[in-house]
Amino acid sequence: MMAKGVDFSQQANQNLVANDLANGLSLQANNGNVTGSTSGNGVLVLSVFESLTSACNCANGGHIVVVDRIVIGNHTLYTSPFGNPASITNSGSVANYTTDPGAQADNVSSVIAIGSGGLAYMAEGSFAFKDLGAVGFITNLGAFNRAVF
Amino acid sequence: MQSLNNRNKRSRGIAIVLTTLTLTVTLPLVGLGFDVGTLYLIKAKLAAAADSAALAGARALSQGATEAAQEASAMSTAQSFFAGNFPAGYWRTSGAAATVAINSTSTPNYRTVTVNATVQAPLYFLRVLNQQHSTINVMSQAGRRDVLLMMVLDRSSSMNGVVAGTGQTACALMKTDAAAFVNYFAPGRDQLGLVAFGSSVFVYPSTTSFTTPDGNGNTIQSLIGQLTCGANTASAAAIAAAYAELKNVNNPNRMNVVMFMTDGRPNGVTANYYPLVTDGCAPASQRNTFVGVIAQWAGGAHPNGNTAGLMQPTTTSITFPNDNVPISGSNACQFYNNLENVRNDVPNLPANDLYGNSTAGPYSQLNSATWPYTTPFNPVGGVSVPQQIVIASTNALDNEATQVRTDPNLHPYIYDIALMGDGPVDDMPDTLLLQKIANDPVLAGDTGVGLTFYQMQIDQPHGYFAIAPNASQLAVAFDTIARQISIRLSR
Repeated sequence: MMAKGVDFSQQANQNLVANDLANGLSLQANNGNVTGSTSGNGVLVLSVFESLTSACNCANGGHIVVVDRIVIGNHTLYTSPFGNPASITNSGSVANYTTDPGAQADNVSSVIAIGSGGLAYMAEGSFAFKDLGAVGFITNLGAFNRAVF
Repeated sequence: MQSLNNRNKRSRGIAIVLTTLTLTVTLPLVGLGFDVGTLYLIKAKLAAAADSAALAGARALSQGATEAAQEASAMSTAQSFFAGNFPAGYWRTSGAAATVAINSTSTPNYRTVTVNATVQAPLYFLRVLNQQHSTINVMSQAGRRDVLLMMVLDRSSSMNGVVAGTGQTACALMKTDAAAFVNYFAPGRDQLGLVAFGSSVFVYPSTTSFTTPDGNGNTIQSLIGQLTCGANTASAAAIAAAYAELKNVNNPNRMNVVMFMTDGRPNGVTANYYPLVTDGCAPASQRNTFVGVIAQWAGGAHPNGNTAGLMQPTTTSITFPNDNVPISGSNACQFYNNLENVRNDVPNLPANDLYGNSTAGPYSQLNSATWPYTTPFNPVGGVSVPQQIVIASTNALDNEATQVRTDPNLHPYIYDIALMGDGPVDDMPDTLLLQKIANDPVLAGDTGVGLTFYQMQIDQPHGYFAIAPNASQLAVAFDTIARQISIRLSR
């Protein structure tokens, strides 16, 4: 899965996200794997969605499916509600997205409308601020943001 | 003592004055800082929403049967993405709105989507200046380039096997998935053409009306539906035919693309062949006009076995009536009645194919340790050696792809699909070669085989390679290629 030629399934590029873009937020890259780790205080979920045409001659035809997904950081902090594919390749591609029921993500339409055959890219980020707050009064501080483009 | 008391009396109240003066200055400054900071925050969010709306709108220009429908799709998609990224009431804003404009005429073969977004941002401290809110405006623009795409589809006989679990042949699945691939492009703007090949090559010239029946009632999709599979794999000739169409249209404003799908190694060489001088099949005046295809008929790149030729290199019918038909004017040749006798008429493979591609290397020279290239290319007597025909045709394919990618005017991209699982293992597509042909970015670094020969050429257009482990996965492969092209078109 690439953006502007940068492949985020590669460790070096995950490091760029963790050490530069999210500097100071304790986002830990996961050594190049694409399903995340259990370390750190942040997680990024990068997804590509496609609205498969009904002409695709496949079980998921007519559905919105997640076709690529890369999780960088601590996946225990947040799980994307948009599709839960059974298998993701090392490059972040969802295996069998035309037939895997878990790849269906029709609830993306609650965020944006995708026309038949259309694409949407989504970045979801969740960060826990464990060192902020006041014990007993303000706990579980964090931030979440989502961008679709 | 009296003097001190008088001084205290005179100083009484100065703190109030100083505090008042300080607050008069600092409060507006603090307010200005807070309000301006808030405005910048809102503006950044608004700009991101406008950017995403413009980009999504540009991508959506490929959806719709007509230009009007495509523009309507782009406008509604842009509005949806804007709303999805700028929630109503974000930081107590109001009146968030985006206007979307599409320009399809200013730049040839390029449409732009311009999004102007506006929102009323509340002011808090600056209300002392009688300003309740501030209006923020941003503008973003993205575009979509039209594409000229030639689909090149392998219809070789190995596609006729039934795919387990589907009850359909690979050929039937390929036809369905290739027809669906056409739906990803924009009629009226994009220009699509078709090349189907076995031993011979069929070309349907590119058109922007690719979903409208032509004078014969055909569309690209209907032609794909009429395909039958059979014959060999003259891959270099097929890509050369697609490239010839790109050059014929000669429009560098478009993104020029060759999309190549194959299920096996090349095994047919299209060239100018020279019959033996002593052979009576061609008089001296015609000896350099025997253009045809020689293929291996041994079931693989074997050192021994049948070969066949000279078969007709082109056809004008999608039903390929001239599969395995000898070339015209060869009545006096031994191969005319039995193609397997071609070795009696034509002894040598040519140094170059019909399109100027070397049949001798460098691909096979650099893969000398890999089957079936353990035997060096040897044109002398090569017509009778199935392995030599595979070597020659593979070299020609590699060189033809290089010709395409290095075109300094059109900068064509090659996207390709390898369908695995058809036919014998030793006839499976060479996936590394297909990655090289596409100049796939995955070859940007170490290719894992220690050969710089395969590495992505940074100065050549880089396409994408998709693999279908079996024909039931072809839908994913075609879809992936369509997506990769779509990403490249819109920016």
